[in-house]
Amino acid sequence: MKGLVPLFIGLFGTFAFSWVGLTVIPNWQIGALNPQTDEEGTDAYPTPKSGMADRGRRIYAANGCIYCHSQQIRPDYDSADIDRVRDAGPSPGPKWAERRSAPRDYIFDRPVVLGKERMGPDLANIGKAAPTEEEKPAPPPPANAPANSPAPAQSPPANASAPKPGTSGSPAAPATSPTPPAAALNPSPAASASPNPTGLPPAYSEAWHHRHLYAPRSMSPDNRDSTMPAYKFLYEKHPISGERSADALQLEGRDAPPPGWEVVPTYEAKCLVAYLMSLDQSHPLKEVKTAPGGAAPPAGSPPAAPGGSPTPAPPKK
Amino acid sequence: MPQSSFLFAYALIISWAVLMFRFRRGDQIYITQWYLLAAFLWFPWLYAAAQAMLFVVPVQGVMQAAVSWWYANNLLFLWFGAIALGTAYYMIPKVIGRPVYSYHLATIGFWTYALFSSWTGMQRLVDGPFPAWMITASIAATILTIIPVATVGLNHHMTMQGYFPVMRYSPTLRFTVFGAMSYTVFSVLGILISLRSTARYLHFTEASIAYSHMGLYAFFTMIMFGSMYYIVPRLVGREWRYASLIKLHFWASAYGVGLMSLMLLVGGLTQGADQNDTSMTFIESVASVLPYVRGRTVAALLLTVSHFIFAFHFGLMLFGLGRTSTVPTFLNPVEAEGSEEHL
Repeated sequence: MKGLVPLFIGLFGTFAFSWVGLTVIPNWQIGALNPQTDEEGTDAYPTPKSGMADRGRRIYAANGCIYCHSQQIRPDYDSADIDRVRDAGPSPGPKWAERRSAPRDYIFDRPVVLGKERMGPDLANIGKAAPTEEEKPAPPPPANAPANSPAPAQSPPANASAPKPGTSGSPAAPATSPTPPAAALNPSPAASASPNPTGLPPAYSEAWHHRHLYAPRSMSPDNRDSTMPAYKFLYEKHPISGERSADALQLEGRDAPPPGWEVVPTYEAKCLVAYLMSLDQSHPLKEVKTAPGGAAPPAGSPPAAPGGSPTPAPPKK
Repeated sequence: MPQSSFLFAYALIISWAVLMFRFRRGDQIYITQWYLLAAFLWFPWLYAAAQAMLFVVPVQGVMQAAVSWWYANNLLFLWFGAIALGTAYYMIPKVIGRPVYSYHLATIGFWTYALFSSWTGMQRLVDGPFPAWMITASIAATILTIIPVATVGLNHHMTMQGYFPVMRYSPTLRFTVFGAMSYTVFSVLGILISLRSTARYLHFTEASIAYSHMGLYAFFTMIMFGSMYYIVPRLVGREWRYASLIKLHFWASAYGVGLMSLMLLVGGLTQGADQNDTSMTFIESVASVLPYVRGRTVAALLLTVSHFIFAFHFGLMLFGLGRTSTVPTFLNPVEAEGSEEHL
């Protein structure tokens, strides 16, 4: 090869081609999406997260949760993501998702934490898996036998996770039930809602997340294979002065603090849990098919075709 | 502050390289210089574009992930990969004392490499919340990288033809050829795991980590080790002291990275198969991959040992404790008299 000019033009051109093709054009296509609303302009989804949950995302990123947990659901024709149920909780546990993830789900996320590996389960809908408010006072299931737990007390999440086909308005109810902003404002009542000191808190409740972060392998005998690090530095151990703190963790065995001491979440831990509780992609999106056999997508959204995917509709400006 | 010192260091490297290039002898631009000039031009652009799109004027939502993967993948191919390929094009002919087999093949390999490998990256987001065309375009580009792989691989192979026994003696050649061969293996593996039918099982598993290790370690790092065995004696005026340490370094790192890739790949397969089987709980998929992750730890220990050996040997060279000799350090005693001139 002779001559510098052709070389430089070629180098410049190939890289410009890649830059325009893989970042500029996609950014023009999906880089300026707005929240979806219904006909009256209400029921907006997604909405920005509360302050605590937003701070929790930074703690999530800072602690490297992204290295083992994804936050994206693949479509049903190419993976088992939608069919998979969560391990903990009453059987059958809450489903991973009702639908695949779409670009619109993430428009307020910064940084976006899609993840790249699954040494831990997907968390795109972990907040949706939480028990609803009214059943929190219910007695928690026996610690070691999630399958034998009192099913009626815990069944509503399973029901709520199957929105009726054709009712695009009604799924708003389960979507709003975990109420992250309310939980963020006042996390302590929910955390103290486990009256049974020996049992586990209800699966995927705030108290459950705190205990799981503090001692991941204490949750059930199956969980001893978990490779998750214990985030004990997000918690404080101090002597009980006067009354026991309302948000103190319910711990047993090796993890339990000595008598007269208690383990309480720091503000960072509370933010992280508020963030986890806010993760919910259950709200239907127009461009994505919800639940297998569920509501047919409105016009403009092609069905899942082999080789293609239900591509999000181009942004309508 | 770290960024400005980083830019300063980069400017120093580039300015010497450009000065060298400006006052070179002859008009011909050698293959290595194509690759290095390309890397020097691409990297600042790539870095600046990613900085701008992620931090200065942040893009919205999932586009951050797309830009990140575009950056990460192009960093691997257009910076690390281009430098490694350029180095291999220099070291192999230099050590065996024979010109590159074909300039035409090299030209094809270079331009197809620039064109196709820069379009890969989005296959790492397969089935994610992105327009399908982005991912499909990257998968197609990944498949097309077979062209540069085949031409570069053929060119190196034909250059080495008849000179493979030299690998018994020359540390540089042994590391460099290992790296050049790893480039082929790494790229073919990349094509296999990017296909949608296999990505269904291998996405979100350890297999993608195996791929990254093969690219960054088995390909890039091994070629860099090879070039250090060539460059350092010429800089410090001493020869490497212990042939046995070089051999140990080579075998520990070769077996280490090989074992690591194998463990992660097989572990990824079982992990992916388990995660697609909804009759298994999630924690069972974690349990099934644990033995492979432990095997990977053994591999990482081997790599650590090899790094300590190299660091010790390099330290000896730095402190002037190398051999003073006119003959380079051979890995094995040279038996045939005639082969010496090729070393």
